Amino acid sequence: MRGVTKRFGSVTAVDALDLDVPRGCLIGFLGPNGAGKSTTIRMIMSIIYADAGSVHVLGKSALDAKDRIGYLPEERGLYRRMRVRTLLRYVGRLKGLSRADADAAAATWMERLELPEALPRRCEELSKGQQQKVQFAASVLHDPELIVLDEPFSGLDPVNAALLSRVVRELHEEGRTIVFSTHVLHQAEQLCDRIFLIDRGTKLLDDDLEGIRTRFRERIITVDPGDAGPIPTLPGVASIEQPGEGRRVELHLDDQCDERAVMRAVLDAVPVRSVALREPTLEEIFTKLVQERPAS
Amino acid sequence: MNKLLIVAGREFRHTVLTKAFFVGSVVIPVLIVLVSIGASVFLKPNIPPLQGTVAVIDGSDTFVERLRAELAPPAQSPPVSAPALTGSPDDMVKEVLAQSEAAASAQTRPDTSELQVESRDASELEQLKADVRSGKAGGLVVVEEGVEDPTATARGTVSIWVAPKAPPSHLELIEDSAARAAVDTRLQNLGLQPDVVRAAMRGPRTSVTRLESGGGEKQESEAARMLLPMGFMMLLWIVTFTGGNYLMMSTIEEKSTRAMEVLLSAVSPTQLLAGKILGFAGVSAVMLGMYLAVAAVVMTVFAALDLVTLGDLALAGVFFVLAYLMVAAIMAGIGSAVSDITEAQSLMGPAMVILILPMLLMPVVTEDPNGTIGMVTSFIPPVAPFVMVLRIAASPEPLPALEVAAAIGWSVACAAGMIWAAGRVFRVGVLMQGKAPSPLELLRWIRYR
Repeated sequence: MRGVTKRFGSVTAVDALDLDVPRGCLIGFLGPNGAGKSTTIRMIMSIIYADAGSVHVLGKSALDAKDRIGYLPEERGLYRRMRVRTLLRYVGRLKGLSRADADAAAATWMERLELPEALPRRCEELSKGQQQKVQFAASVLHDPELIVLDEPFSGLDPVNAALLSRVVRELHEEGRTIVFSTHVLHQAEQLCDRIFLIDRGTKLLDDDLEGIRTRFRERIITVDPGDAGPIPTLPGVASIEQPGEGRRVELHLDDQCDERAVMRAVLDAVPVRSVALREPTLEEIFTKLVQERPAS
Repeated sequence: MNKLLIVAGREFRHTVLTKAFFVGSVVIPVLIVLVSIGASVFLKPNIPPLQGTVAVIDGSDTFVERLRAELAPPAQSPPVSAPALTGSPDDMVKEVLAQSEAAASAQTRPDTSELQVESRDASELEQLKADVRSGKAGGLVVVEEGVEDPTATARGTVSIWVAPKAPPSHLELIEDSAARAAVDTRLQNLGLQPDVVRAAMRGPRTSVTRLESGGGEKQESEAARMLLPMGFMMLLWIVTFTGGNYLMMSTIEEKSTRAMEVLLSAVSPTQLLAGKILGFAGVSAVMLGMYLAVAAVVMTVFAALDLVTLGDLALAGVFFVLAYLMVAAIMAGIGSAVSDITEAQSLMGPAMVILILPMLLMPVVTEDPNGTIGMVTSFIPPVAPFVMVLRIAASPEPLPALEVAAAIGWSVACAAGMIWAAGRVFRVGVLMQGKAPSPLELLRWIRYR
């Protein structure tokens, strides 16, 4: 996406957004409510069109690539009275499969999602979780190269969430590119190898997880001294703070010092119970970035 | 194109190949006809006999005699038989209507085999009223002076009293019989025989031939002039409106069940709308075919098939397509803008005002198919195709080819414009949730990119 802007009346939902998703990548698409995620995804899917900028998907215009994309929208929707087999056949045929191929793919996917018995049943007879699995099958049965999943785990029990998570990983390992939008940040942290964060229609973050952690590393070492005495002053340590009422202390480091050298120095100086370099969670980074933005 | 056909096929199959469609389009109309026939055959009203005495005060012997004859049971009940379908279509229609009327009249006439008609003196008026009130007498008829005088300028009054629980059929029989007895008495007073006069008053059959400007002649038919345009237009209205309604309901279902976004990930809004319009055009065409087949059977029975030419049918087919496209555009716009049927009703109000216009124009255009109203409304969408069908069927002579071509051309342009506008509204509306837009907001959506 290059300089993509979308307005609805006086509201700018997406503002000059640039996004590159490398092939084979599993990217987490994050942002608070109303950030413009669904609008961006709908433009990727060519459901709506940008007012400015360009969207290219799999090397083509978004519209031309439609059959090579699988899409699980946030708002789940099935024809209530339609049988699952008929629904999957219909969606498969709309995605370019023949009737026979659509039926075969439907059977394979329902087996893979551990729901083969649902094929002859009407959608309205299924539980919410089962309907979600059917919809997931509908989004991938045409063997897409790019899969866009908008909140795929919402409403699923832990067992089915784990099943779906495993399937998403397998699809990724098979080489498919996956864009995964979620509010559950630890899921993104576990699944994704790249994160794209937007707020109020503009990009806040676009990097791989390692790069993000390096960039937002707080240069703090947490130490649990156990029964050992206080931590002595060490080279590279700017200050020592005790954030809570426990024994744990935080060593705030100088900008230039080597974190590993300081950790070794701590271990040499005091028989501590644990010492660790503190890694900010995605949730902390997300909150920090969103909250630190000036109000528009 | 392939996706458009897949959508169209799905919409067609999931509408036509359902029990609901079969029940709504075939079973219910057949049931209505069967129930109507069954009701007329089996549900004969239980009419109590009119018995006792009907007393007449101040009536002459002639009046009493004529009233007695009118109230006497018919010598033989009119047979309820199939009408003789011979002669022109008009004759057959009139014959069927006359038979139906006679059969209905026979069914509602009370039995009068135990009824007497007696002449009584005016001094007994109050006693006779009391007898009627108590049910001892069947009725009381008082003839005003001058009623039997054929030269009187005033019509005069025949006053009738009936029992408190007398059914409407008793009132109607006594009232009609008394009126006819008064007229017959006047005729007799003039030295005429009422039965002869009545026979003489029966109008002859008429045969109207229109001399065509090209030199030919054409037998004029009331059925062709009035019933055919009405039938054609009603048929067109019903099938296009039903198809449009299916389209609206299908769009609302896909929005309310959130299936719309799944579909739009596979097809563009334009493809989806076009597929839907095509699919439900098929549904409308199936209905049109079914009803036309029934109409053809009826017209064959009435030997009226020659009232419709193939050219008329072809033109009606063209205007059916145009009418459907215009109605479908309106219905698709409404369906895409709302989230449920309740919201749809608020937008259907203004749409119905427009869609009902052909019904209101029907009598005017049928009477004067080439008048100003007919000509002007032939170019106003979405009523234009309906009016053109009315005009084609009602016009005594073929409409000028140039005028028909202009109307078709203009309607094609209007239908294309309406479909384009509906497509713009559809594209915005199908993804909208929440409060339904006003008609003005809908117009604004057309401008959205």
